[in-house]
Amino acid sequence: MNLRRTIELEYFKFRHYKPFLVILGLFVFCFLLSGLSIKGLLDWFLRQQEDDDVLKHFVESGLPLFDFVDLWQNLAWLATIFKWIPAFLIIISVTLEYSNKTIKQNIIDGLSKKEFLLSKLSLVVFISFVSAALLFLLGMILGLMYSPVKELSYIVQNLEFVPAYGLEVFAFLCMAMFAAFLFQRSGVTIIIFLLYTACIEPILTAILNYRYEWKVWYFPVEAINRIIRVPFQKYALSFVQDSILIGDVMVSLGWSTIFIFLSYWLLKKRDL
Amino acid sequence: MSDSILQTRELTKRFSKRILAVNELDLDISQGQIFGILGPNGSGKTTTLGMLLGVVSLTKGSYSWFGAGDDYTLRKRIGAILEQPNFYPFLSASQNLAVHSRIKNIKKPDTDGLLKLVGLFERRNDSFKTYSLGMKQRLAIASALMADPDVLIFDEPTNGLDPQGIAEIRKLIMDIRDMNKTIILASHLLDEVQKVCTHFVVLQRGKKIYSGSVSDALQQTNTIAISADQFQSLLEAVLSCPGVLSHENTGDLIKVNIAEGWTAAALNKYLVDRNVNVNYIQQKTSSLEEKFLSILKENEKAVNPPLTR
Repeated sequence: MNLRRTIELEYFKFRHYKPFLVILGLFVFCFLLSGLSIKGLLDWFLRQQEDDDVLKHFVESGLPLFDFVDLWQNLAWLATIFKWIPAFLIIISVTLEYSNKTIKQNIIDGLSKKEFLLSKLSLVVFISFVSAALLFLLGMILGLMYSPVKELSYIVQNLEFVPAYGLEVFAFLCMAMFAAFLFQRSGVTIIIFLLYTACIEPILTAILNYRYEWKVWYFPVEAINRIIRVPFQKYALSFVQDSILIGDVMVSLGWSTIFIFLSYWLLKKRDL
Repeated sequence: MSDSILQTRELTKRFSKRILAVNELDLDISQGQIFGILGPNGSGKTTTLGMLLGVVSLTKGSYSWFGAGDDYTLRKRIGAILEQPNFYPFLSASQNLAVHSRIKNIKKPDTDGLLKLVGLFERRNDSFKTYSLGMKQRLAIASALMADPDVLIFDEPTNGLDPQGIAEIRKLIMDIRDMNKTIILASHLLDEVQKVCTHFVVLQRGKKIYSGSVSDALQQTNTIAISADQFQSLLEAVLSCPGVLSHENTGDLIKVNIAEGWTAAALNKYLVDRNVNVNYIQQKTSSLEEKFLSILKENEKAVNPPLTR
């Protein structure tokens, strides 16, 4: 099996597909733009609330949002909202193969089903890598602009949130890929995937957790979201998990493996 | 057999309890044959090819390409089109062939040469979705030829094309035949199989009901049509001829069935000896269509027992 060949194959398929490139370009653009505009938005918002003494205090002291050490977790958490866009890209790239029956032709031409899955997985890895790289770039830009401390030792501290973000996107994309292999049609897949990840599971886990006191860490979307915990309560002086827990990472990796394996099982089982 | 291209044993596909698409099919195809798989729509042709190409799973049985088994890497030595041509609609002909070259692992594919061969070179940079069906089919053939494969598989290659398109595709297939490649052609068009193939099988409801060479199937006729100026004396002479088993008078022609050992030439000589001047005599070769329909008819009762409830 030739890993380079499967990566190349995906590159040859999509380098000329305009919608794909446009979405990827918009993703990069919006990611950087919204990151760079957080500071301005916050300043504007706080200036509107000048009568409020507590907030006024914050404005004067300055929120340590973009201070190194804090910055990586803050940005990583804010960036999780963007993971749906690459998820849709993956869904499109898989369902397109079904709607054009090119997956069938690929197999006929001499690709194995395993290699087909690997080529899609290479796209998943590539996009996860791009996401993490974007986060790193954005963090460096914002940190160097606004952080009061700029020593290397502070910059690299908590830098593990960058690969953790990559892992979060990777696990999420594996789930999207599985959904695409399961439903095969782009419209249906996108709607069900969006409903499940943004609505059904969060509501279900919330009810199970608060009403019935279930442990919900093993649900896939919950597990993926857990890798990077919400950081902002610390500014209201409550305890926050401010490092990556190996347990969270293991659960997400477990789900990724399950989704990849299920995708392979579906591919293997179904006639094309 | 060293030159075996394909061997299948008890190849079977059952889609559900009621639908048995392919039923214990044994095929043997050797090097250089142009092998036709003939059958009405729904007789299991495409399902059979799907199994041989790894897109449909087998319920039972086995197949072996080149005497080497069913590994997917062997498919790199096959060029195949199933049903319609399937390509990326947003890529051009050249780009689609480039994708295919990555799958076949060909470092420097001669895409321009292939596109010239099938007459698509002028349109190579237009996206696939702008092509006519005939052009799509020709691109599929170019793609199938890319790896210089040992075997080519065409499934209903002229389906849905206009007469000119059909003629173009047939010519391409003939050209490929002249490159000394083995071709497997599935079709419900008898005429197509008769014109192109050397060997053929007939499938009905997934079962093989006939297999043999095309020339054998076409030679098995003993009907001769004769006509003469003096029609009455011709009729009398025919009646007296010992080699004539039966005759049929159509008004201006007499069709006779001749006995074993008799030929059109012998019959002609017999008639001339009796002073009948024949102005038309021809031994009819039965068309594959007649053969096909008679094969289907013979098997209709055996394969489809009357439904009983």
